[in-house]
Amino acid sequence: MSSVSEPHPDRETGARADAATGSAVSSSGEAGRQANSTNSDSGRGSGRDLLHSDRTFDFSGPMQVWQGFGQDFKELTRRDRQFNFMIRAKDLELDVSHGPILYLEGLNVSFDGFKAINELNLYVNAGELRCVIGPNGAGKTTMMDIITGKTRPDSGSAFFGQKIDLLRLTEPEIAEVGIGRKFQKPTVFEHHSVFENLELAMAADKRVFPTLLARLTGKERDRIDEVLGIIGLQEQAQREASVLSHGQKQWLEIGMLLMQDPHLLLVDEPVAGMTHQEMERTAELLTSLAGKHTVVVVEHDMDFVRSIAKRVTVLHQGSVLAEGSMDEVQNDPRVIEVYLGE
Amino acid sequence: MGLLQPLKGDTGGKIMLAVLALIAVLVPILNLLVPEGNPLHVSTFTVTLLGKYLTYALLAVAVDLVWGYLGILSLGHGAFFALGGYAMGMYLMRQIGDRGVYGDPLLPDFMVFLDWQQLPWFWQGFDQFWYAALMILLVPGLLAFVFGWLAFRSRVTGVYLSIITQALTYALMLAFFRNEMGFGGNNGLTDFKDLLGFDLQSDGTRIGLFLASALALALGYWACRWIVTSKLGRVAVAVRDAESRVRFIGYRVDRVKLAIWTFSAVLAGVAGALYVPQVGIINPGEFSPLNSIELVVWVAIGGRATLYGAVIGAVLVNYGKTVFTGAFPEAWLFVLGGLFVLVTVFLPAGIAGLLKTLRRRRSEPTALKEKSA
Repeated sequence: MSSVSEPHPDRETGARADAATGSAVSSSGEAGRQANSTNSDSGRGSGRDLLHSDRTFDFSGPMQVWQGFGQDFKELTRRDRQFNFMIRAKDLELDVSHGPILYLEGLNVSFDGFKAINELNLYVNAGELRCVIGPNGAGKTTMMDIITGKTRPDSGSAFFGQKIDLLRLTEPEIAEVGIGRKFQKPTVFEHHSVFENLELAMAADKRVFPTLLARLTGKERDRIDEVLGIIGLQEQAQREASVLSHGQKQWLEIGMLLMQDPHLLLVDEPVAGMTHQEMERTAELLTSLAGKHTVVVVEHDMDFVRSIAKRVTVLHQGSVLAEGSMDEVQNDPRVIEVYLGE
Repeated sequence: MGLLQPLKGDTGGKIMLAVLALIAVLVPILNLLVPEGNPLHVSTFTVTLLGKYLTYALLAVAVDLVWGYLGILSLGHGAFFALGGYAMGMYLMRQIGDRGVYGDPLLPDFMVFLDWQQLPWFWQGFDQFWYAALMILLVPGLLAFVFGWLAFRSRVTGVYLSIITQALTYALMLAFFRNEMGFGGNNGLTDFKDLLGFDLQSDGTRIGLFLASALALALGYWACRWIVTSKLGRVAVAVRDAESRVRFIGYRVDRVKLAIWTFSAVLAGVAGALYVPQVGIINPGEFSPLNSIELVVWVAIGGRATLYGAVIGAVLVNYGKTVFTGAFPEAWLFVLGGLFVLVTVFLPAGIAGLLKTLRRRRSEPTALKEKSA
């Protein structure tokens, strides 16, 4: 727990942003630090939401109460902004000005009494490549399910950036706001060509009638070619996805994620069942994606995690056990106990 | 070339449409111009039979669209077919006017027989063809929309959905059997006289209905090809193969299903509307669950997910049915069941799949020869 609420990493990013982009951003960096410090104090409900803002009332006298109400009323009838709860959550802009792109706070999920997720707090910074490890049943996949809307938590909150409440969105809406997920088992559309797989995944108006009338533009074709290049499947573009090797299917699926132009990529066990060469290529691919995208990788293979991860989060029994660099985590006695103790 | 775009690469479909066009030209000539004694003469009975097969073929195409491309095994498409048929039947009933047995200018015979004093509200407007035509599209479409909206939103899939569709058509059959429903009960609607002022018994009208069926089949086929070759069609196949993956990519799977499902039901309704004036009767038997299962068998035998296979299957099986029920009426259901088993075991891709394999086998040796040379 203690390692989670540690404000250092966020502060560091804030400071780095200041240094990188100059004084213009420094005020937002300031805000970020403030937000994070309140974060670490209260544990949840950072300054991202007007509804959560700490407005204190003065109840010392009836007059003040009246004035308080008056101010409140003014606040309510301001016409220069919309309340967040009036805007459809998926139409909110992704706001990562405070650093983290993903906030999971106080999450709890239980299946028939089994606590799959237990008071989970996890923050992931924008542009980061984060590895999540943990023994079987630690809640890694359930965590992904919550983020993508497949599972609803019993309590807690999940925010994408400062504003977008993931728990209010459906699965397609979550995909629309920019979270892409790669499943443990590669699921590509077997009866479509590699090219068509990417075409279907492409960010576009995905309602029924626009889809019916959609025609590929040159720009879209270029984008598909570009992604084919990134995942190294140009040669296979016109082949049916069912004939691809296991590793190629995994890359195709990552390519499908990229076609959606996601801000956050969730990658579940990308190298399971891969040969060594395939693993190396996957590592290159994922590290090249970080920065432009935020990547969260769930993986069992420690060599692979070591080769890509800067920061590692260890999950155990549904909550965060430790977080830090691979070396720190590996030398943490609690982690050693969990992995070797039994 | 926009109009032919959906048929690109669809050799089977092109051949099917060419054969259809040929029949549509030849049959009227052989029926109207060749004298009756001539061996080439096509009797009006055969023309009507062919027209009936074509409406079945359109129905099969509608089923193949949702089963082959969307993965929804509908065991209730007969219901949409019958609803379209009833809408047409109601129009034809009102066209009888005072020529019925009881001679009532307004009420159809069965209502007079039941001692009804006035036309029920839902029979209003059916004396107008445009209104009936609208209802032919609207009633099956609306039922499919409401049914689909509830089913797909709750993510009912697979065999459960099939069972519900079966229940839907069964429930409708029971309802339409009741006299109080006002659709002629057990006897259904029959004894039609004319359609748009044309005598239904005349050769010319029969030819006209046959041609209308051929045109509807061609247009319906083209529309289905247009859908399956569009991006929406590729999404549909993706839904069939990996539904949850499509949802994560960001498509509203329920809406995709709902749109295609409703369109398919409308096509089935049109097929039913063309079927009724040709066979001259519509009764609740059309809703029977067996009918819906039988038409799935046509599609399976013809070959799923090819569309033209559905046409082949519908025409061949129904031709077989006509021949068999003439010779051994009791044996037909056994033959149908046997066919279904044989096709599933030995020809999982149906007749269309068989044709494809044969074509590939014929072209492969030559390709090899070219390579070695």
